[in-house]
Amino acid sequence: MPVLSAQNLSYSYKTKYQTVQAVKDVSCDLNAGTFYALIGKSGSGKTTLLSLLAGLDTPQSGAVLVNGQNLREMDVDMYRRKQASVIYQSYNLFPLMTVRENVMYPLKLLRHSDAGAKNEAQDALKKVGLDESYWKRLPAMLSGGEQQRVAIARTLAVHAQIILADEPTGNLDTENSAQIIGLLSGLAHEENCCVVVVTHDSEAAKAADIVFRMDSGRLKEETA
Amino acid sequence: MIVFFYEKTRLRRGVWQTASIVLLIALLCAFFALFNGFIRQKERDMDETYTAIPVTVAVSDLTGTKTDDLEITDYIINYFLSDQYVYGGELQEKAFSSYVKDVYLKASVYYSFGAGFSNLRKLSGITSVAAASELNPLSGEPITYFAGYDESIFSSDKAVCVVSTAVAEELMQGKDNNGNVLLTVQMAPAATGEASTQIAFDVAGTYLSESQTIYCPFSCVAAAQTELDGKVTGDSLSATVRDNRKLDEFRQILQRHFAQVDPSGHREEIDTSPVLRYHPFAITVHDEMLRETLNALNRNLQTLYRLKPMFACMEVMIGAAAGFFYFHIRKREFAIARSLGTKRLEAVLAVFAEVCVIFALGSGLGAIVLLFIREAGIYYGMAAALFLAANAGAITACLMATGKSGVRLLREVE
Amino acid sequence: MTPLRQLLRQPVRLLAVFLLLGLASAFFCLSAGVFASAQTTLAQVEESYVTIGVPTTETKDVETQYNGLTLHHEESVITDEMWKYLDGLAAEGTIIEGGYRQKYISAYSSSLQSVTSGRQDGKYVPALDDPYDRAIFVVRVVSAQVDPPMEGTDLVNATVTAEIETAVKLHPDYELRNNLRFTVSCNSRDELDALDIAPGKRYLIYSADYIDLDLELRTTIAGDFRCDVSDIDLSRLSYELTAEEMMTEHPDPDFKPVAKYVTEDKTMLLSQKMLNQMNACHLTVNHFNGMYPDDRMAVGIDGTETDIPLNECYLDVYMTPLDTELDTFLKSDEGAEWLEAIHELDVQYHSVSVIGTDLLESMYCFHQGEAFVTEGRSFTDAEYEKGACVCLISESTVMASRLGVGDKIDLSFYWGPDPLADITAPEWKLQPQMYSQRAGLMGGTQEYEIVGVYRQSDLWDTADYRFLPNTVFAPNASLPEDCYSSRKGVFFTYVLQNGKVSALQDALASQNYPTNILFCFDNGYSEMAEILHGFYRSALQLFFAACLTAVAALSVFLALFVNRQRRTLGLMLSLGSGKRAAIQFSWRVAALPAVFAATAGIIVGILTMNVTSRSLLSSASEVLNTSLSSAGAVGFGDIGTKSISMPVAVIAAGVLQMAVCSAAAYLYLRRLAQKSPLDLR
Repeated sequence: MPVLSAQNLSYSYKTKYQTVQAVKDVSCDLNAGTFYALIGKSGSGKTTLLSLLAGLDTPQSGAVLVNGQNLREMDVDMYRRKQASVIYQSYNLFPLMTVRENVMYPLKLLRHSDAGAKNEAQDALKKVGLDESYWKRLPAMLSGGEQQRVAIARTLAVHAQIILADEPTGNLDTENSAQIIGLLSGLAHEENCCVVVVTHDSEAAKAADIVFRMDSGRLKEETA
Repeated sequence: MIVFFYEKTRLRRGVWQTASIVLLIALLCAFFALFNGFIRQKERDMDETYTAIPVTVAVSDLTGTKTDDLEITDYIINYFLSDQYVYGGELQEKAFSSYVKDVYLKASVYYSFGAGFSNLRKLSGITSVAAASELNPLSGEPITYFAGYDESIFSSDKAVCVVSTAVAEELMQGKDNNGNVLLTVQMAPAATGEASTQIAFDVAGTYLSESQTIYCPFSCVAAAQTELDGKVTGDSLSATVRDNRKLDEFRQILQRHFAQVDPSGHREEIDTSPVLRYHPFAITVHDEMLRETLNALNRNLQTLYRLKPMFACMEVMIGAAAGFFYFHIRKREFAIARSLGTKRLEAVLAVFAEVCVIFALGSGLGAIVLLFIREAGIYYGMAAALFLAANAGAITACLMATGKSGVRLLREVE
Repeated sequence: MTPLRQLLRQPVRLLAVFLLLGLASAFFCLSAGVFASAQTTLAQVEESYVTIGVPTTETKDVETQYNGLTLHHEESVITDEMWKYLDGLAAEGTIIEGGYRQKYISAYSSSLQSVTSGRQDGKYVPALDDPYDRAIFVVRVVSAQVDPPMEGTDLVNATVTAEIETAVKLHPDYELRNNLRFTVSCNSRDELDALDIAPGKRYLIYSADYIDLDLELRTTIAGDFRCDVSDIDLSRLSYELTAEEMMTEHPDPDFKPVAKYVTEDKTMLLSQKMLNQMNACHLTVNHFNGMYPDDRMAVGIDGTETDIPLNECYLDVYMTPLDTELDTFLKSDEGAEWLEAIHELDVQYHSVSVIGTDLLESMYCFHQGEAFVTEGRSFTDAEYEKGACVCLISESTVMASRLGVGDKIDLSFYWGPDPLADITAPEWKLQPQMYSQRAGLMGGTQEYEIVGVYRQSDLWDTADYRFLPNTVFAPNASLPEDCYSSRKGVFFTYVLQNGKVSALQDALASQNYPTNILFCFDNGYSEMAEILHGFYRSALQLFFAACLTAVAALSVFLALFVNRQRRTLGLMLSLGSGKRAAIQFSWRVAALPAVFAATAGIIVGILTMNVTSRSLLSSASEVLNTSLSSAGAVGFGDIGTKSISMPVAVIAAGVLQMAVCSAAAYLYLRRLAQKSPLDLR
């Protein structure tokens, strides 16, 4: 059974000038241990689809099934706490929390003790290659790649089954991009996570097990 | 739990922003307490003004242009002096005299010192030097008291007198064996068949004047008049009001016995009075300074009363606006928290907790400021309203940021 | 992209900052209004308290030697040196605010009717009625007797009794009596003989000293019987005296009782002289013209002698036989000067004393409530300063003249023929000068508006610091320059700074001057001082708190709004914008809401203050009841004008807030611009 499945998802939103049909009747099944790449032109609906999968938005029609259960019927907040984790192009770290605190935050949401959360956060940070010297820094004091690692560490710390990354390498150089993609790929293949990466980066797409292309709100599977 | 974690980490940073809000809350709290204190202070000032400024009442003729030689009848004098006050045939609970403290009375008889009576030779009994305009220091006629005597003689019932330098020599020459001056007095200077009596006076001092008037304590003349005429008749009468707060009450009582000054001099018929159809005298309440001062203070106080709800509204709105603004600029943080699975309620609780902390710090700081100011009047209702307003603003901002549109922010790359 | 457009793209934030700053600005403006209101109140209260120092009139005997003779004269106990010192303090202004000098001049107004002491029950003092006691009668002589000539002078007097045929001119306050006794004073026997005074002959006579003997007698009897003059009924007279009554001792040895006035319980003996007063009046007829030596000149009020010899100032009228009808006589050449005299008295009965002042309340009587404004108002500062033609008139004059507050009167100023001689005479009690047709009016009339009516508690009291009811008060600056003044009585007072009485006494003591040369009165200010200082202190504290609150709002604005411009600033700098251009752009974005908000704050502040003031005015009620009060309305006329200062304060506060917010934003952004663009992420 797919970990995450989209069934005839449609979503539109209004701008000042027009109504945009961002996602049109999209269906797909996403499995654990697989690294998916979602590619397409800007404005093709990739990020919207990712938001629908992450439960950040609600589809106007269709359903998102998580382990066969309709997301609408689930506690979306708990879904994002335990099962799905989102990584953004702009990192979206708490600007006034240290690196470690940022990683501890989702653990605290899961009611971990301070000490437990701290240990797990530190472990996660180590995994993404950020040693102790980074832990007490604020995000603004880090480079883009480092910030994205923190975002990944935040994901790692909660052991989320589903990792949804929205252009995680969009702001990064080739070397950093490769490292981030490597980390995400490792999460899919070693941690048995279902990793979905929205990307324009061909290297990232190449690393994916399955590549989906979004075109004018429609999803097509391409060969990896 | 997440609330504490978030606030613990958050409040330690962004200190300047937090401090500015704390300061604002502190000063809003302090300002209103001061404003309240200011009003209370003004109320006290009004109260103190009543005691600080003397008010006098002066009996005059009906035109208000004569306050001396009035032939004031005994029952009117009695109102001011007697401990009992009968009105409409009934003994009143509160004596008329309880409304006044210093009573300035003058009453006269005519004296003869061997050479017969004359309308210039008056023996005037006064309760105080202030009762005789002739003895006003501005007239350049200061009294020189002999040893052992001072102004207090006029409030005593001793047979002592002060004479002018013009008659002093003549009187001193005619002293009796006891060193007293013996004066024969009667009610009128020229009328015959008048009863007369004698009073032996000790001369207590002189005043520099050509006048032939002799001044003695009021009680001496009152006793002589009672003996000669069976009643006391006053020349002038004025008094200071004991408690100005009771002034309006006193006015009502005065209106029973005195007319309002009518410059045309017509006697005003008082239909409402069951006892008196006419008032023989008018009375003037000299309360200009008291009224001027009280009215000015009252106008200011009324302004403050009217502005108080406006200040309260503004404070509440400032609190709400500041609360909203403070959290609105952190909408991204809330969106991140939401994307990580924070519930809206948890976000709201975090905001509430932060406002509580800020408010506690702010009101505490405000209270410290107020410790140094005596006139502050802490107003808990206002503090509560400010607290609620700040929360309302903050929570609104939080709800806006944690809604769907708020979370969409995360898609934007700044 | 304009700063405004950028602002409009973040409407929620703009609204939030606008609300915050706007409310803070309105709050600050309103606080400034409250402070201004408190200050206005304080100023009003402070203004209503005037502390005066009245120089003593006490004199001391001074001995001087002149040609081997010891001469004595009275001098004020205040020496020239003391005056100089006090004037020095007044010039300095720290203890004494200034010396307030009243000016005096006489004036004629056809609308004003003077009043005399005879009007008031029991107060008839003929001497106080000068110069209204001038009269012209047509009389028929009953008897005449030439008095023995006065030693060392050519003056000759005759005592005449007559019947009054017509009162050609008599002050309307006086009742016409049938019998007249008068004395004629001529400059020579020839003059007297020329009059040919004989019983049965008619004369036209002019006098300066009319005395209503009948009224005088009634006043005396009323005094003795302790009743109103109007209650005296002379039909009660009895001529049947008992032996005991005939023998009654009297201070006047010449007193011979011939009748008695009897009531139920009292009897008053009357002499023949007193009986003669019934229905009688008395005149003194002086031939002024020629009384003065030819070389005596009129002395002007400034002390300079004028060219007109004094004799020429007086009309040559006093007594003339009247063989024809009065009208015929007056139309004749001889009657021309009498017509002038009639006109002179017309003017005289409508003449008043005008006292110019720079502060009504500096005069003892007004300060101490012995005189007070009962209708209308006192003078305003602007009226004193500009010399506005406004005046205060006594209740008695207003009633006699049938005038009221708001009416206008024409005043023509004049000086009498020998002003200094009159004014410096000891018996002078501030009456108007004798009007002389020849000396005339000063030329030009001035229209004065009656703004207030005053009442004196003792109308005919003649103490130095008092004035009589025929006195009109006007601002000093509205009077002609040629006025009389002195340092005595009503004419001079020092006004002290409130609360400086003891400081003055210390200053006098430090010079070894007696401290009682000035009598100080402060209307209870010393009792109020602490209350007023407390009032100011708390108003200031409140305003200070409002300032701090505004500063706090400013810091919120900087922290939450201006600080958010750092990204834009950094971006602009990184894109190569000049520092100045980047700062200015960001500053405009930051300052625009501040300017709009402060403007909104000012508008809200003004509207609120106006609404408050209006609702206050519409519900203005006195704290105390006004019945029996000495002044009908105190102070309320001033609220409207005094509240003007509040909107000014509100606007000033708003502008200040706007300026401070803009400047602080600019300085803050300038500081940010010193950082590297990367630090501004």
